[in-house]
Amino acid sequence: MEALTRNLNSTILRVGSVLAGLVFWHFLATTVINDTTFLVSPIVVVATGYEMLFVNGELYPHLFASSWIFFYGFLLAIVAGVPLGFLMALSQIVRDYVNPWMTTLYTTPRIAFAPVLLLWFGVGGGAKVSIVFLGCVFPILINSYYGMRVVNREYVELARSFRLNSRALFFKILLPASVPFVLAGVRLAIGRGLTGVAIAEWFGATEGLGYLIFFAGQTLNIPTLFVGVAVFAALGIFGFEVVRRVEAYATPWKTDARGS
Amino acid sequence: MAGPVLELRNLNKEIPRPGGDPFIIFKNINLTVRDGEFVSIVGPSGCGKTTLLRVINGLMPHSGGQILIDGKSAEEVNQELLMGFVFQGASLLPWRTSLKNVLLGVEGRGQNAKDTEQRARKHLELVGLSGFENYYPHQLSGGMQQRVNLARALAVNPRILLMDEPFAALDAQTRNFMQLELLRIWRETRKTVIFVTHMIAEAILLSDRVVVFTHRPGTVRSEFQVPLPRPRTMDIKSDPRFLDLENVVWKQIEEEVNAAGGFAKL
Amino acid sequence: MFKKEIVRGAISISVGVVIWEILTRLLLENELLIPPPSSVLRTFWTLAASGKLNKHFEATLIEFAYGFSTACTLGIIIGYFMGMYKWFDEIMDPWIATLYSIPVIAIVPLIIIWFGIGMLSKIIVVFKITVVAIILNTAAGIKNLDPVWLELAQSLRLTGWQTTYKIRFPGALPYIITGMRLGVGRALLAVVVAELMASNAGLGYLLRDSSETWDSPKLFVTVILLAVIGLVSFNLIKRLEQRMAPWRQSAEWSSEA
Ligand SMILES: Nc1ncnc2c1ncn2[C@@H]1O[C@H](COP(=O)(O)OP(=O)(O)O)[C@@H](O)[C@H]1O
Ligand SMILES: [Mg+2]
Repeated sequence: MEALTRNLNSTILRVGSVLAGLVFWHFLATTVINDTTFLVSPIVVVATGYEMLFVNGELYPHLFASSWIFFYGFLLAIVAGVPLGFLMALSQIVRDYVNPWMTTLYTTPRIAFAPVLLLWFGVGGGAKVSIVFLGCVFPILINSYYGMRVVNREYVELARSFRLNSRALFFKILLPASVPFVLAGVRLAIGRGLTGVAIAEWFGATEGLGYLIFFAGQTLNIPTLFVGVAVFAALGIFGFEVVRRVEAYATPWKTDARGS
Repeated sequence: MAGPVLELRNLNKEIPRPGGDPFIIFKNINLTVRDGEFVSIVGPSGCGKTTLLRVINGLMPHSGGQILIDGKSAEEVNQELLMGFVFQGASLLPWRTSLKNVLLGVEGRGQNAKDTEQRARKHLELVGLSGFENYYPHQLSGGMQQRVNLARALAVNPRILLMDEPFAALDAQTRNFMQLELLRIWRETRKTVIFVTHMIAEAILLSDRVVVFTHRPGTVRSEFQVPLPRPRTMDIKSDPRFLDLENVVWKQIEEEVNAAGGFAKL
Repeated sequence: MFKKEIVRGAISISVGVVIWEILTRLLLENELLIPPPSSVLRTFWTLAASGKLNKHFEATLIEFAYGFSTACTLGIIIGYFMGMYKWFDEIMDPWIATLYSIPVIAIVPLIIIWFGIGMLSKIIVVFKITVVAIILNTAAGIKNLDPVWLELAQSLRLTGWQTTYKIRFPGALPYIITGMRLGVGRALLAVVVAELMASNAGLGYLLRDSSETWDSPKLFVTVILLAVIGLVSFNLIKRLEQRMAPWRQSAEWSSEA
């Protein structure tokens, strides 16, 4: 009973907070500011979103264009980042030689590479995909590296006491122990990748969500701008949720459900 | 009579220290273990018991002396899986179910998969865990985890079972149960066991022979044959012979602790 | 003498630079695609001597400093109250979650419309991107305090204020610093992005300027400068974290920057 009241209270507070905020926003837009090139009411934003999604379908080409770029860059980052991370964890020599480059690339604001990549690849898909790739690859690489590096020494000892060969050591101990870390890296990479998409599309794209937003910004089309931002946020949340599911599936030992 | 299963001759272990004398963990250890014997090693903490087990298991090289297994030098037979190690923490792999954990040492060694799984199931049953095959370690209590740990070590059909304070982390009651369980399992399997503990009563209750170590650098201080009949129950702890032996061993450990400069120094 | 990994790192970097110089000199006719390191260095010198570099660097630094310090102050206060009062946490949570899930880049155009192309919009961008991590980490730090410490404070009859600054704040400090660290790298990215999109000063401006005029030596100077700034600030924060909270394994530099 008490728990029920508490839950109810929590819901009321949250819903109330959101409602109050929306109402405040509405009045701010309609009465205080009253300038549609500066701020519009949330009602207008929702209406515009509805229109772009269900009436004229204006959103879809942008959504697809961005999705492909994201998908390729993200996939490449996984394919390259995970093995290299593992290699760095397993070999001191590889680690020592790669580390300075990796740290430098990693700590540099990625946007700095965008003009260079455009210089090399032109404004086509190659530059965009590599910008996304650069955004995604480091969290994945570093988490893969770190995950395999910090595998409990006890487990390694255990493997030795059972005389497992190095193949079995890798597949039965090191790899599964690293999975949660790799997935954490993948989760981080989603946000980075989306940022990468926006950056890539800011530089001379003709479609895509990033383009949509920047064009709307330039033409002071506030409703479309808001819709674009919301779609970006939704994509991020969606991607997070997907990885969370994958995590629950791939690392069942981390859940609390009783085994069958 | 067959020869001893395990023989340690003047076994030493030291760790080199940069710019100084080496750190001697144990030295001059001589110990002979017969086939099917249950031997306990007790000694003050830090005297090198864990290190000794690791050296015997080949997880770490020794620095001098000899280890003979069935008369052959350990270096010679080291690649083979002759020993089961029950680690102090259960050290179960969290991503493997109980059954898969038990399978770790036996799977992929050339036998057919069905047989090895059968074997793993049999050992889970032996430790009283049938029905828990598909549970992950975090779903098991501490006592159950140690049972899986034991089953995993036994499943490889080891010549020697090495146990490093397997029950130290359990609460007193669970520990008592587990000791009785171990007695039963030992009766059924007749493995040669080397059991490290710092609890004197546990050593006496379980063993045929109790070996007392000195403080570090550890070496064998004395050995006692346990003059108690088997099968044993908890009642045996009030047997005067049990109490006498416990007393004698305790006195020796106390002397070792004092010689090392008291508990605070350990 | 030196540690092996440092030697190897130095070898790796120098060999890379030498190969870069040789390849660009041998293979490329013009310096548009990749300028050789020597010409990057020369351009750096000219830019630095003319005081231009300094000006842009300063602009970025000021934007960063204002945004970050505001985010720290407000973030710690908000996070503290969120950690202390459940109702406040409930009210703030949906908004923070929303703010968190919006990629900064996407909202930069909006911020520029609202706050203009001057420094203010960049300060807001830095604020936005750093404040969430600080709020969430401060709140987590306050919530995760060991209850035994609070009981201790009670048994010592500390006042509410004393409990806050003797127990709660130091207890939450490691979390707060982690929050700051998470913000720094992203803030640098964001401020450069904002400058790139609309500004008349700052390293991001320099980046755009050089890429639009196809001045690749200048572009490379900017890129390398940004890399150095990133590296230095990252290591400073890592040091700070190790000093202030040495009991935390700061090896988890993996999580984010
Ligand atoms: N690899 C090692 N390097 C240095 N010292 C070690 C190492 N392994 C163990 N020691 C030291 O050797 C001593 C004995 O350790 P251990 O065998 O764990 O003792 P016990 O199990 O009897 O408590 C301890 O002082 C420990 O710190
Ligand atoms: Mg020990």
